[in-house]
Amino acid sequence: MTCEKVLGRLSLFLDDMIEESHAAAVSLHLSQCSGCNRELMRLKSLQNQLGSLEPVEAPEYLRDLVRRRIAGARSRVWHKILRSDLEYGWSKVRTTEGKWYAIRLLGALATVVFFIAISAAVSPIPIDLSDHLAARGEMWAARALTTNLQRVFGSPLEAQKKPIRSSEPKINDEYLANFAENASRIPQDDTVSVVFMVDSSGAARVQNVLEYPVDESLLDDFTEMIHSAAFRPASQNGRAVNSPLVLTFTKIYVYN
Amino acid sequence: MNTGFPDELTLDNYKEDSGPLDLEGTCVRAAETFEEIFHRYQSMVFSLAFRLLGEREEALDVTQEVFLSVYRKLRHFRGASSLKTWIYRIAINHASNRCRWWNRVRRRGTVSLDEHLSADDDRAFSETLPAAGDNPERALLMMERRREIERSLLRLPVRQRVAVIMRDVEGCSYEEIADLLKVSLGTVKSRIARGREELKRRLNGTLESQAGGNDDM
Repeated sequence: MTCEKVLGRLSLFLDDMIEESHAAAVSLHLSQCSGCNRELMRLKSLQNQLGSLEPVEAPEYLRDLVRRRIAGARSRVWHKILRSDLEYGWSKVRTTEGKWYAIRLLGALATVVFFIAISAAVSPIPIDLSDHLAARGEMWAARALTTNLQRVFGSPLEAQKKPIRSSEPKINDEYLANFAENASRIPQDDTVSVVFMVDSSGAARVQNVLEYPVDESLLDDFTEMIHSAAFRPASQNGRAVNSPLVLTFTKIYVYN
Repeated sequence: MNTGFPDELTLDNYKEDSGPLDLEGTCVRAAETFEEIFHRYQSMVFSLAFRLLGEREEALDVTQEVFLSVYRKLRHFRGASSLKTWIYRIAINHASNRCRWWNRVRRRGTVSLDEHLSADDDRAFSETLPAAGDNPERALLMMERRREIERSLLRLPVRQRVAVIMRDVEGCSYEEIADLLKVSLGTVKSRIARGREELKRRLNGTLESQAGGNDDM
């Protein structure tokens, strides 16, 4: 047996925990190798020194500290106990390397997924990972991602993928011809002026026409607008009252 | 008997539903109370916490937490292992958590454990004085060696530190340590061997003189 192997087994040999098959070989080697024997002596010395460390006596006041800690714990209400337990659980996570790094990794992954989902939901540019993932033979991942995003945010991907269907062009030959005809007419200003009553409920009705417009349709439109509008009634001594109003509307042509 | 502890701490109150507790092979007498458990194991817990943490205040704090846990969980103790093993396990868990927390803080550079390692011992002054009748020079040498060992122990990784302390300081068997730590026997062997190797490397000079002394004898 080589020195390297013997040195690796010295600790077990010292504690008599080495396999019997190796014990004889190690023992034989130690009887012949002064270097390994010296290492064994050093290990024994270490063990003796560790064993000679005396127990440390607890101070007298420890009992009082424990009693107070227990009394404090007993007097706590349920939410403080819950908080304490949660803090303790979290501290165990924080102090256990494996758990702590796993939690951080999960948090980072969750953040990435969250932002991908958000950008997929609000982005005007359709994000379609299917082709990319399918190209790598990961169609199941593409389906899962799309399905989950649709489940959470409706179906933005499908909506975004729809082509924009344009109707017939509104500016066509007919429009241009009408535009030229309208433009050739001599425009003129037009005015309508009416008296109407706003009652206490806020409804209005036209009572009289003070000035008729040239274009009859303007009066109709104006009257309809007043009837369909809701007004805030005037108030007198804190009570809503009927109030007459005069409204004048003027259509003005503006020339370049 | 007024124990100074709350009444609920008497074992009588939960003895009926938890069955007899096994204190080192002896069933707990009806009159035994938490006071007795505390009295019996306080030094063991405090000493272990001090060895693992290297600081008196931390050890005191962990000891309180351990006995608070014992107080809370004693009702659920079913005697699958001895009470001593059970309390050892709680103490190791609490102290290990505290060690890891300290290591994390140290890595962040906010607090240096080396400060208290390099400072004078945390123990009370009276504990550092040599016993009457000892050779002062020898006592001083022994104290220096003890400090050197304690410093080296504290620089070991937590798991190796626990394994070495349980084996060489507390005198537990490999099987007991495996049971305490809930790991395999092979893991315990590996941790102890690595821990000792690291200690041997750190205590090179001290062990040389000791081993030389042994050779001379």
